[in-house]
Amino acid sequence: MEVLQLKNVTLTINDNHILHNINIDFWNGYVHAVSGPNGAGKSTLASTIMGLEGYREIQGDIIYQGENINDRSVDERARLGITMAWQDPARYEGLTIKDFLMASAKIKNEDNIRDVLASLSMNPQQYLKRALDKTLSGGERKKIELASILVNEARLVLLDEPDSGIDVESLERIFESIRLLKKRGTTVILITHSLAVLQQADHAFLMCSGEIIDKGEKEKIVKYFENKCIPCPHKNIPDEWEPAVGK
Amino acid sequence: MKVNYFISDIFYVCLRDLKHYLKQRVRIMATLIQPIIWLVLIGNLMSGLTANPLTLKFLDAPSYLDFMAPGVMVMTTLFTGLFAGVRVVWDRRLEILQKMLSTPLSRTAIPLGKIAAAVVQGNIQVIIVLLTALMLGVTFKTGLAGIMVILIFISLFCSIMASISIALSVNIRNMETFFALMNFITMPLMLTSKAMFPVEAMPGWLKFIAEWNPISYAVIPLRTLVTKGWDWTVIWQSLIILCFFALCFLAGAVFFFKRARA
Ligand SMILES: Nc1ncnc2c1ncn2[C@@H]1O[C@H](COP(=O)(O)OP(=O)(O)OP(=O)(O)O)[C@@H](O)[C@H]1O
Ligand SMILES: [Mg+2]
Repeated sequence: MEVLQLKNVTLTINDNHILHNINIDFWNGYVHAVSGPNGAGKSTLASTIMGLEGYREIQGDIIYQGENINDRSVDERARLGITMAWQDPARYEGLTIKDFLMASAKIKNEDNIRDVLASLSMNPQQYLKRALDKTLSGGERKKIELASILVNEARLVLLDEPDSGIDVESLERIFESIRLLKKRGTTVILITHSLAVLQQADHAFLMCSGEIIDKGEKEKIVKYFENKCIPCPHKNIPDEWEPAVGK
Repeated sequence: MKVNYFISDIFYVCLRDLKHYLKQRVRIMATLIQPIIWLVLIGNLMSGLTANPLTLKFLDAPSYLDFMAPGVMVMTTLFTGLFAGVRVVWDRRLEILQKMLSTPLSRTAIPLGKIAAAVVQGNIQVIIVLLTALMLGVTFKTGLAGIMVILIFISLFCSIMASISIALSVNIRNMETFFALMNFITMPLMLTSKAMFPVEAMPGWLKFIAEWNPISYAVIPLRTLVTKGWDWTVIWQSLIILCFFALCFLAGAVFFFKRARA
């Protein structure tokens, strides 16, 4: 059964089709990956599903658990069980990490928050009291963002490049969290152009220039990576353009 | 359980804004110095000008400084309250609002938490004004109990102003527009009220506006408490009117915040 369906979704900004006629079924309880080169429209797809400001005026339909949610606002979608970890987490300044996670949690329980931090190889002792500000490293902020998703206990989780800025050891912990989410029955949508993250998925979609150009078992999509080939003509680059250096 | 969570949501939003406020040293210094300038400069100057029996009858107070101190408290609150919307505009710019909205945090708790933070700030600043006024020799007829009641009035008035600010901020995307709008509102609001000048000295049309100006509802009971004493008719009347307005404006702020597109 699919938990989320996009039907002929087109998003036009300034006459550009950032998303073009997207049709996707995300099956319930699966880990999905959406992959593709820079600028393919992956983050835009996530923002559209979450219903962020500027991404609400779409053509087509977004169906969540059988209900059309086109007109639902971000917080309404959040209440229906959709949540998202940003590619570049907002500088949510002013709270301590503990308060931030408490505010993000569905069940406000400090032990729970400690467990989640520990599971991302962050020592709760060291981090809970720290301010959520620019003194945190990029990777730490990414992990706190992920922690806020884990305590949220949503039904559908969008993770936009969960691996960016993350070290090898922590990446393994993040993969464990993804497996944990799956075990809880959460549907996960991974947005990535990393082979390692793609390997975590059950099923994958390949995106290019705002279109879904292939889908299937992850092995099938992995092949594109191995061949280092982008199968569609790059619409972003005009035909007549040639790099000066190569001549 | 649900109510519990709602209150803690308000608490976190409020806490975040307050911590941010306490970090802005320059802003705090400025807001502390400004009322002192009002009281010391304008207050003393006008005290000299108005120290004759006729004008004192207009003022109906021991001196212009006594007359003005409640006005300065209300002005300070006005500015603090109207500043509340800045945080909404900022949070939206930094995409923090989107993040907040994508969590289980209650959407109603966001404006309420921000208004609560403004009320705390308003009280802090009014206490500073109170202390300055005391040092300048203003006598509070109703003493410490009166000061407590003054802070209740200040809290109600501040929540009204913060509600207006937040309701206006929801569709504003940049700071400059926000400040222009707030400037546009504050000056006329201030000058057509009973805060700075006695209503008896105003021409008829201005008198009429001043009667209806929301600032007057906060200034009059404060002035009564400072210069006259426990006049319960004035206090109860203004308290009921301000409570009513505060509830309406809070509901309005929540309504507009929830209706906004983001
Ligand atoms: N608001 C906007 N206005 C104009 N163009 C936009 C807007 N949002 C996105 N785009 C464009 O849409 C395309 C897709 O952007 P998107 O951020 O979704 O890419 P992505 O697949 O996430 O890339 P990356 O791998 O670099 O994160 C880009 O070319 C981007 O410049
Ligand atoms: Mg992206």
